[in-house]
Amino acid sequence: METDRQRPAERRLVKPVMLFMFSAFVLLGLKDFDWFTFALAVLVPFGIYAATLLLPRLFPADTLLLALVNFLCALGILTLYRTDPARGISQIYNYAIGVGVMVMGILYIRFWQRLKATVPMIAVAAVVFMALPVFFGEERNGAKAWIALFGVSFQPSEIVKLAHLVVLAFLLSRRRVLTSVVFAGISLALLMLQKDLGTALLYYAITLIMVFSATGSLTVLSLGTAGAAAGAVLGYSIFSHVRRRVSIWIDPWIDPRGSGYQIVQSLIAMANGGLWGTGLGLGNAKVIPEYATDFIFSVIINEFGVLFGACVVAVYALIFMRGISIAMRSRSKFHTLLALGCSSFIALQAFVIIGGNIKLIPLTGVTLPFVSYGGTSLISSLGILGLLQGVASVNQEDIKEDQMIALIGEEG
Amino acid sequence: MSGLSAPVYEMVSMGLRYWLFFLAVVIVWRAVRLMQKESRLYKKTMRQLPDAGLVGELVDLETGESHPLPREGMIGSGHASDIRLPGIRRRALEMAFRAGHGLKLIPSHHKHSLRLDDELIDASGDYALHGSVLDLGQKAYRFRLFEGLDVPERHSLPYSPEYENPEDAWARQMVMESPPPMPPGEDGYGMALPVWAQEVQPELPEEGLYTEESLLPPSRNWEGKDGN
Repeated sequence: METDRQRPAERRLVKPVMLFMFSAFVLLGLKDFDWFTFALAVLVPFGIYAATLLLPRLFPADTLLLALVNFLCALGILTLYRTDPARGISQIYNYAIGVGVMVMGILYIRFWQRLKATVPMIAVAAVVFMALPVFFGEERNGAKAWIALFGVSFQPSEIVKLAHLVVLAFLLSRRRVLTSVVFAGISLALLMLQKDLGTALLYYAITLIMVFSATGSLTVLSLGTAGAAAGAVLGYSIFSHVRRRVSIWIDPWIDPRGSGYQIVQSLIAMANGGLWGTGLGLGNAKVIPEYATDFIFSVIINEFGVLFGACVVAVYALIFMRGISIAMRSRSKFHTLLALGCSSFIALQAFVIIGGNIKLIPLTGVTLPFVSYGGTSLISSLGILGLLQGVASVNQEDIKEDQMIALIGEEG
Repeated sequence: MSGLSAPVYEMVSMGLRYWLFFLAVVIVWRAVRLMQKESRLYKKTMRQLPDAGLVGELVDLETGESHPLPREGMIGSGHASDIRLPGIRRRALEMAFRAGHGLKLIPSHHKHSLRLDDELIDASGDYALHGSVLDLGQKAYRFRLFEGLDVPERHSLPYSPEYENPEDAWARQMVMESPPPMPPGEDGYGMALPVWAQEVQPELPEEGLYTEESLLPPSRNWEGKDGN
């Protein structure tokens, strides 16, 4: 529901985002007088402007959601560029591809009535794709979740997220609960075979949320929660790396130079940052081995401070609230469930990794949506946003149609 | 070209921490304000559009009670049903509005014998149009769709000599002929009932003493509330 009166308010939101990135990149440029960094100080804010205010003119979208997500993406690019310029530039390319996927997501939902026949094909492709790492995958950090295709290495479970959400929303909107549970069960079983427990946890939680929302059954919720508890106990007793992670979570100082090294360094980095941070370009968070992916939140707190970290958490909370609001305004069950699934996925993933970084919950190997380094992660996160945006644009059209019908009624 | 010296850069960077935090707070604050403003605007729009999300109503032909018709949902007697009707299965049939086609009705169970316009609805579903009558066994309901919706017109039954019988013709009209599409926002209560049915009925004579006149159907010249 976009009106002319709203646009200046949206510009008022985009301006501080642009100013933030301009100031930060100029500061980084001053460190070495690097002209490329100065160029980024202009290009990144322009990119934010184009993606937030110009893109919705071509493809109807929720500008508030776009502004918040673009802030997070730009923050990721800034943090990565500051720690490793090559990764920062690579992330800009990933972002460009991600925006393309987001537009495809919007179009897919807008033309859903014509494209919903593709759902069975998508479901089969998702299962096949998810099975690939089991046979051809390469192991990283204990999980066999990566495959290399034509020289490009990626994580199929990240791409399958989109398919998982669409297929579940479609099946549950048609009250095919059993079929949806079977589909989710196959995905989960394949993730367990890959030992990618962090992603399996996310898939399980999202399936439970969506099934409960579709059925409203407390029995389903109770069984699902009991199943999760049983799965956690089973995972703890079967997988040695789960036991190790739990013990590190309870006391990382048992082995600070070995298995607890990452979390200890992360906690030290955050403590160094304090309330206000060490200052951009003055941090030392690169000592954390996975500083660009799993621990990027620690890097942000190290350089920008705990208070800024709280603002980042608030941005995720706002994205989630906006997603729920989009879900509640939807006219069809499919759109409601899809929007709910998308916003829950983003929020839950952010919670799991931020909670892991600050030692609130055991650490799992998932990325911080929109911020962490990684092509597949950023592209899939923007793809999920595209689906959410698609629902938002359908909602806008529905309201326009209702207004037109009301007008006809008044004239009649 | 070398950059700022380390102490100067450190000073600038540490000073800029507060500026960057301030901007982050402004971003969050403005996002919250924008969300609130947009929410108020949405609620205001919804107040102006009381029928938003609806495509019409389902009217009980016996009592005149109407149920708002959402674009998509379930008709049944269970709590999860969008339209709850007594005396039918918990999940009797699903409905979904399809622009250009009408309101698609799909029975939830293959053993259901639900009738739409006197024809059995098969498992693949059938489209209800404005004026269509849904027979759920003991009760019949009429679909009344809003004007302005992209729905094909429903054709009345072709003329047949059997309709010449005034009693049959009246019955047919009650069941098959549709009133004009309903403007949204209007109260649909009683619209399904002809004027005669809303008026106080005269007391019937004692059992066994029915006159010939009391058995006759009401006049065919009744008018609906919408003036047709």
